Amino acid sequence: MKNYLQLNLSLLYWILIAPFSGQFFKIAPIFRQMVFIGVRAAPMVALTAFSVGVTLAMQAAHSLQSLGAEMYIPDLVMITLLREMGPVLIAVIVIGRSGSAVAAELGTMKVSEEIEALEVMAINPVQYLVVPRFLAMLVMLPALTIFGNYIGILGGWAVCRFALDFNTAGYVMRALESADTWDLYSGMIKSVVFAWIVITIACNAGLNVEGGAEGVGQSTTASVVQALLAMLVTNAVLTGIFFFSA
Amino acid sequence: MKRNLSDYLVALFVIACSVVLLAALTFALSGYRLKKPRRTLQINYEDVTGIKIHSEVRYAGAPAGRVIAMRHLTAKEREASANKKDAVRVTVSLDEGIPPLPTDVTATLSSDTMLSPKFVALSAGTPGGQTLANNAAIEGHPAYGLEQITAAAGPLFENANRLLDNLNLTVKGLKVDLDQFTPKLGPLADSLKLDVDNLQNVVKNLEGMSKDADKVLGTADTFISTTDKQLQEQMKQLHVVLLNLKVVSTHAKALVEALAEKPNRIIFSGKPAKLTPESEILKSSKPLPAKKP
Repeated sequence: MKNYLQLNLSLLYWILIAPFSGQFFKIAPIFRQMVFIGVRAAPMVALTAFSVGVTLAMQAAHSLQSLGAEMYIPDLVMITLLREMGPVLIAVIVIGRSGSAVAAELGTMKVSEEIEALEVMAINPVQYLVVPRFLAMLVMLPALTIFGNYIGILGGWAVCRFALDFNTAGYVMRALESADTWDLYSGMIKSVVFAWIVITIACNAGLNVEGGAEGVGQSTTASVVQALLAMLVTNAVLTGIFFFSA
Repeated sequence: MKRNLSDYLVALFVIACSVVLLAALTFALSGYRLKKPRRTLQINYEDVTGIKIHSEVRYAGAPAGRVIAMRHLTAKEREASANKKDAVRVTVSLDEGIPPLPTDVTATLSSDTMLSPKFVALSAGTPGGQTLANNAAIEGHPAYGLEQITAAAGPLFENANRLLDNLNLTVKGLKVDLDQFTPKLGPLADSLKLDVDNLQNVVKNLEGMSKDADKVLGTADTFISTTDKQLQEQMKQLHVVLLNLKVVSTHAKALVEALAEKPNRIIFSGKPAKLTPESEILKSSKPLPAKKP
């Protein structure tokens, strides 16, 4: 926990304070990490979001049809995706794919003493290794969430259009009428918070690996589990703050 | 360097696409319209439960626009309003193709089913009269949903309960009265039984009398029919007698006249008189002269 807090403080320093004292972080690694963390995860995110949208619509149809309330399926798909399923499921995908990769990559660097080598060369490992991944994740997870929301809504539309004979315009109108901008932005805020949690836990796990290759595996697994738990608990807290306490 | 450039391009493209998608979704969800509505209508309601911005507006049941604004009326506006209970002003935009609304158009809140979202329903109104101006304000009628019906039914149920309580008291009182009255019913029933027995005897006697009367009437009928036949025959005979008498009396007048003029005619015959024929005498309803002139 102490290491985790130190890492967070260090990150804040390198992002918010260091640039004003002339210690800029490099841009190229950030874009490289964006491609690795975000762009390459897009197909997986798309498939997941589409499946979620389809499943939500089918499950909603099963229950709502018995009440004669099929017209609320777009509402349910839209609100569920924007508020909860979009940010959470896409974060889960990113944790499984990118978070674990970051933890393993940094852990391998740690056990192969590359990080010590950086320190010997007076290169701060947080500035050089963590900040690009952190900023890339902070940008790409919300971007993937937006992308996933669209794909999920498309999945819901597919069910409504081809299985329930919905009018496309009617589906879109119902979906847009049901949600408001706060639903979208609450999901985006969650996504940003999840990005912070996922990448800091992954980086912390990677930077604190001990015990060689076995330690890398254990640390990677631990980072995934911790990130998932932290993300889900944070999601509950944020949902309570956004939609329950008001 | 080449790899860095492709990373830049791909990452920037993804970021740009995300920003565009986010902006588009924000724009769509905010309900902001680039094109401002040309035709609006303001409707004052007592209660707009179930209506929100973007709720549908239907004119004569067909889609006609959207709710674009809602606000509470100020205290002054409420005082100035025709209906003091109005509390919310809903502004709706009307589509271009909607014809001018008649002044007698009514605005209610409705829904397709109990579960369906509510919409502003504008009635068709009467064509040919005056039409509403753009942005005119009209009086809206509240929706009578399940809650309102339940609320209205509350006093009804209370009254029904009171009525049932009163009925219960009445029934109890009636029961007490019946308990007191029932023992007195025994003697009354006994006396009624005696009366019924007597009545049965009277009825039996009356039946006997009726049979006797039938016999008497039968006898009288036979008597009357027999007598009637006899009378008819006698009447026929009498008719013949009377006819003969009519002729005889007419001719007797000639005889009397002859005797009065010359009594010796009885002994000495003279010129025979030409008497009125019997057939004429019988046809005539008046007395005829005995001789023909």
